[in-house]
Amino acid sequence: MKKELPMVLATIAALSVLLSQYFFAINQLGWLDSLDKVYNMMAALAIGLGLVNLTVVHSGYIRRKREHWWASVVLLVCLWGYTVLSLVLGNDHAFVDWFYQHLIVPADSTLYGMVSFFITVAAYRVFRVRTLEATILLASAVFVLLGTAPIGDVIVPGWSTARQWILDVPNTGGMRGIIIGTYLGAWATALRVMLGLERAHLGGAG
Amino acid sequence: MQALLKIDTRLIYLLTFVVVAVAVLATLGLPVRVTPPTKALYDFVEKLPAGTLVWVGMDYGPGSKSELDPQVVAFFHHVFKKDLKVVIHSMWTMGGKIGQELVEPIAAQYGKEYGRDWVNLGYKPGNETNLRLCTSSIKECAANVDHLGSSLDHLPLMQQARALDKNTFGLAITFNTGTPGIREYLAIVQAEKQLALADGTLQMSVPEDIPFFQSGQLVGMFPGVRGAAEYEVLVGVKGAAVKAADGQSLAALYVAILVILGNIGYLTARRAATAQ
Repeated sequence: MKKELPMVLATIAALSVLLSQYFFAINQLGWLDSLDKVYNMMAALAIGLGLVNLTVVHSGYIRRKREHWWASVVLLVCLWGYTVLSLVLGNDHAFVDWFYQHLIVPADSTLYGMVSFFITVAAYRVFRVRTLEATILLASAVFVLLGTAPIGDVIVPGWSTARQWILDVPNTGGMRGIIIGTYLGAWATALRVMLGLERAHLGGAG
Repeated sequence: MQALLKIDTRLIYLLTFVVVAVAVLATLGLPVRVTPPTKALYDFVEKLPAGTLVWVGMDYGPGSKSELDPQVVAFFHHVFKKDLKVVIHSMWTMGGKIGQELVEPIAAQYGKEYGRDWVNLGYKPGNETNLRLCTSSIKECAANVDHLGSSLDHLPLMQQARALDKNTFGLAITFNTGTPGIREYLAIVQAEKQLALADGTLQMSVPEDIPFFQSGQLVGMFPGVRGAAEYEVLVGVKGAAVKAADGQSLAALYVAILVILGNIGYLTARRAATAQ
């Protein structure tokens, strides 16, 4: 029953969404709206569940003095500190805002900014004219790279127009194939979940 | 020449920093040519009558601020210049806050009043189902509160903005970096509700998103920070994007030079190996 009930619920919910999307008469019954409201409520509750889960997992790490356990202390202090501050003082309080402006924004931006260093080194080490295919890839990558930045048009007027053609024609053709393939795969997975053939989401029961 | 194959990684990092810093500190002012996706978006907004409602999805976190903030700023200058009304919504936890701090000063500059000319619903959990709920009732999807916790019943604009559909809004745009983002908007807002949709995205997502502009599902796009620079040129606003585009120019040139040097080293080494 532990597995069957969630499976039946998933199938009923999936069928309701599917039928509501494809048949106007069923759409008018309002099932979709009701399900959306339930999902929204569950999503809000899931944030609380996430808080509890993170706390339990990282408290365990601290208790067992696992390697880098101090990072779990930092995580829990930040997690609960920011949550309590936001709940008590309100989201817009200057003190809460200070944490956001001086901790979250710089940390997140730094992580993203570091990518540019790695990409630069990766481009230098990986792009080699080893084969014809690699040479075509290298040439188009450098072409699009310089065409994307304004400097492309300074070096050769009209460079960005040629770069736009690469994006619009060969790239769009390839991307459409990938997108259609991805959605066919997603559709097949959804069908398996709906028919009860896919059970990994029920706890790895297979 | 083979030494070109072994440039120290630390030197590459250092030069990357120097190149970008130089571009940020000294304005090069390279001319920015406007590309079709940005021009299409600008033209679309330009044709919207004053008072039209625009839905803005702030679907990104602080990590993408450097690339997406200039897009948001340029877009809001245009929107407020055109006297359009805006409802902001976010499927990302920090999106509502980012939207608030970006839009407040621009709204003040154009004399726009919160609640009458623009409203920030803030972060709403639920991803695409929340978005879908907005298409039937904004009051319900927002749990009747805005970003600041005020009841939507007290905000005059929300009497007009009842549901995210084409009868209420003239345009929806999402500034996004991933999931949830443009794919959810395409499926729900564009395909289901037939509302005109635009996309503000990172440069690296442009090849993924451009097919939707080609197919006409997107009325326009901000292709990365360059898109923001192009929009600044079109709107006539001097912002951060043109400067950022200078940084992009120097960085792109630097990477291209590195790739060329690496390949000179590689070909020299290969020739030497063949000769032996």
